[in-house]
Amino acid sequence: MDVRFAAALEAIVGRRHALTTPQEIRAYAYDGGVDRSLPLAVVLPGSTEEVAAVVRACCERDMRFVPRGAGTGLSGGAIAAGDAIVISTARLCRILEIDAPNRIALVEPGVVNADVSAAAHPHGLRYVPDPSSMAACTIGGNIAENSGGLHCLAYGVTSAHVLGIRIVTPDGDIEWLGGKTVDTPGYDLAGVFIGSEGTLGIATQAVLALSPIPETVQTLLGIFDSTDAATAAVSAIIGRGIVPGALEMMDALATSAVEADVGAGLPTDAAALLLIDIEGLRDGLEGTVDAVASICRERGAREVRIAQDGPQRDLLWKGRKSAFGAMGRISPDYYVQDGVIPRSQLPAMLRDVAAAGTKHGLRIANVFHAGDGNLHPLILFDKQKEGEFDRALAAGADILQACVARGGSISGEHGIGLEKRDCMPLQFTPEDLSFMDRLKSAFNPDDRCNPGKIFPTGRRCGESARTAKSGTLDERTAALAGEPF
Amino acid sequence: MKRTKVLRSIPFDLSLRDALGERLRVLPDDCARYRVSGVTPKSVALPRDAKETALALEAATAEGAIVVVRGAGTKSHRLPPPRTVDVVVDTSSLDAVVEHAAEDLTITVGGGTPLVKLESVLRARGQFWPCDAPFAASATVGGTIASNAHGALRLRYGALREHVLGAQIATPDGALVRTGARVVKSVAGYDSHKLMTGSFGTLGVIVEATLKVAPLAETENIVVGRFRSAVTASAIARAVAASPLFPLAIVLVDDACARRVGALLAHASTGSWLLLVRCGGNRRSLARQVSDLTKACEATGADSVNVLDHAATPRAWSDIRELTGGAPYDAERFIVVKTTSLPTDTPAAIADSRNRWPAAELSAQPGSGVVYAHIPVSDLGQPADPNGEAPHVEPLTRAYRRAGWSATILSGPAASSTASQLFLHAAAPPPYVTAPSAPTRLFRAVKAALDPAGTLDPGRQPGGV
Repeated sequence: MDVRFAAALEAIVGRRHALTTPQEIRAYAYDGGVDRSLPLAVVLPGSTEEVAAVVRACCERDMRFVPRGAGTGLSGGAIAAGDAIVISTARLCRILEIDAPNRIALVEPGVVNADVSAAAHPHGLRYVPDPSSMAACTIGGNIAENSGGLHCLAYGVTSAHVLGIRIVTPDGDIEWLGGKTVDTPGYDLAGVFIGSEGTLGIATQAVLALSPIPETVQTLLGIFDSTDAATAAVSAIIGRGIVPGALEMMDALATSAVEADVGAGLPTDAAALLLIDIEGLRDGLEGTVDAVASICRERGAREVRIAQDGPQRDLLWKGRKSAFGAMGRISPDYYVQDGVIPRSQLPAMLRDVAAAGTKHGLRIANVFHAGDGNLHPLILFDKQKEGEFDRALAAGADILQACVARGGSISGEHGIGLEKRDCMPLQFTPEDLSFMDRLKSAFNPDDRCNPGKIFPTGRRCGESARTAKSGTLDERTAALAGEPF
Repeated sequence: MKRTKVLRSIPFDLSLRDALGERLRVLPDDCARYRVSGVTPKSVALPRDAKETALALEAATAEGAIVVVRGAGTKSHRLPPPRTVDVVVDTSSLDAVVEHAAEDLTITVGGGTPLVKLESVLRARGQFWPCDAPFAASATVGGTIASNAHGALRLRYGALREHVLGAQIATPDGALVRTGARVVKSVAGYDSHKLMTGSFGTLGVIVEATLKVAPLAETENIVVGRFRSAVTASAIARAVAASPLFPLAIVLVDDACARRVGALLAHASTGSWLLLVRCGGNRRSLARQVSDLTKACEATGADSVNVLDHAATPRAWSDIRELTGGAPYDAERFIVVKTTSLPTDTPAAIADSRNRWPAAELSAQPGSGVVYAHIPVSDLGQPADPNGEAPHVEPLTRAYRRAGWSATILSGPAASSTASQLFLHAAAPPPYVTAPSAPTRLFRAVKAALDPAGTLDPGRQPGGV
């Protein structure tokens, strides 16, 4: 990288916070997905003003930049696609204010998701969105991806819990979108910034809405001998007008991995498990719990267990939250998909997923947000085996095609990023994409801010990820050869 | 936005007629019924479907015409008035229920679908769209989204934008684009449909929307507490909103507002405030909520606490939801100002409104920081000094900026002097909106990107966008 530019960055953020050596920046070639790409440099600004100064320096040199939080994303959103520097929010990690009477928190983007709820807890409040990676992922990344989580079924995804965002625009200005109050006048730019995957600017502060902690919660475990019966129970629960706090499903393969990993006491001989949180006031909760349990039994559950206490409940949820990581117990590598379908299509869709596995000769585990119809098929493969990675990508593409054919979406919460950009034409017409591109140009006309993300490149769905890994980016990434996947 | 060509006369060039045939109305009587804030349009287009809507926009853009989109026209009194209107595009024929996936809690409807139709389809399956917008008797889904006109249910269900999952939008250049999806969760591409909420048809026309709906509670009540002080009532509202009782909605009304709701007539008392808490759940949960709320009201000195039962609640609430600038307030006789602040500032915002406009009818969502002032035009009078300030009231713009509050005139008579009186007590051009900070440059950029010719009602959004 240009020495003068490096010096300019160092002058803004300080020498310690401008990383340029291969050892220092190696970790930034990764996120939680399958793409790999080394940035030219990494800067860690310590304030909104420093972010703005770095962005303006980039504009002057026509340098591209990629905002990055904790790097737990699953679609390549926070890694560089081509020559770019990474702007990390890791040092912007302060909770600036918990305003309990107004039920809001003012935080910086590098704050870890779970820390917001921890800080709000003494006030009887919580920050609802709880992605499985909540112990590591950060608010800035959550805003970029419009992250979901286990409890978004009843309370909505990230956008339902963000009132305002302070951003540095792609040309280095500082603006507030929304604010501490509801319905700020003018276009709802916060609404469209959330979920824009870091392509419309860099969030440097956020006003989060906090919600009351439910008085009590009961966790049910429905044990089923067929996935069809489990999905039928999901539809029946929602159809009865009950919206549980969370409604999750795991199939047998996922359960076996989780048991091998954390030993949550889940039955490994069941075809499918439903994990259900019923939250609310103590009064009347039993009635709802009983109703859900009966529905599960009516639909063929062989057993319904109710967690007896907090620790038992935490153990069940620990099993669910560790499911992705647990795949390491049963497979060297996995590739997770994120399609959404109408809930009523779940039984048929799970057959489509199984068919994709059979077709490409790969095992697929399912662990997902059943209540939302948001699938997470975990396609298991071994990258050391010739052709398996390509087959995993192909199976993923088949699953996404099936999701769209069933009236759904190619991503429920992981984002498009690099990984699925060439799958966008499955769901959107050229006119749809052109409309989005025009909207992007209003914020980011030179495509300097997180370039190469979301929009298709003309390749086939399923090819993107492989190309990002082995295409022109490979020269720098070659330094990483031999690194564990 | 430069205009290369301005329409001066009727009939328009052939393209708009070709696009719409007899669905383009130009007779003065027809046009007069479609006035936009007092301005009579030169023509009215009544497209029958999405494609005709797009064709109308394409033709209008090609001619350099200015288009104002309209659903049922219930909110077409917003200020400032347009300088000119060439075509009103009436979406009321786009009223099909395309798909109600009841088991998926989604419904897809045409943008011109009346709320009454939507609500009756949903109610038949025990569901509702939790946005409780005003003008429920005639407003359309598209107009409700475009004006971000939601009510107090936001406390439990969140902002209106969260209940729009996807949309088909007709763009000024005649394209039909889809954003979002017909499922409850999607992050594929930008959520452009969320940008439509509150954009008043200035970025595109919502020809179809997929909505996220919710099951109706098994049983519902409204707890009605009467207080002498809005400060006390607001404090209870905040405490309840932060408690595990987690009610559906909280509304605070003065006695004048209360008297507009039949079910509250018996409880209203001059100078008093009614705190209305709508709660729902199963029988035992509801009993607990009502009991706790009653105790909380009594412990803080409520004059009386009453409960509207499950049978009385729907009717009462359908009146209460109108108290946010809705049907009872004739736009020729009332100016409606919406103020947003932190919830802890709601009592101060109420006091400021009361001081500024003594005859205003006030309603508030004290858990969310929203106050509506319904100001009788007759109460405004003329400012003592047209170039100066009223003697004892600080200009609204200055006071609100200092407090960090926003204010918007939702509707009022077209005469712009009323806005002057409200905001500045000074000469034109008055602001119609004040906000502590607004990314006006980005507003302009978004408008320029999506409506480059300035076809869709230019110049009336905050910042003159």
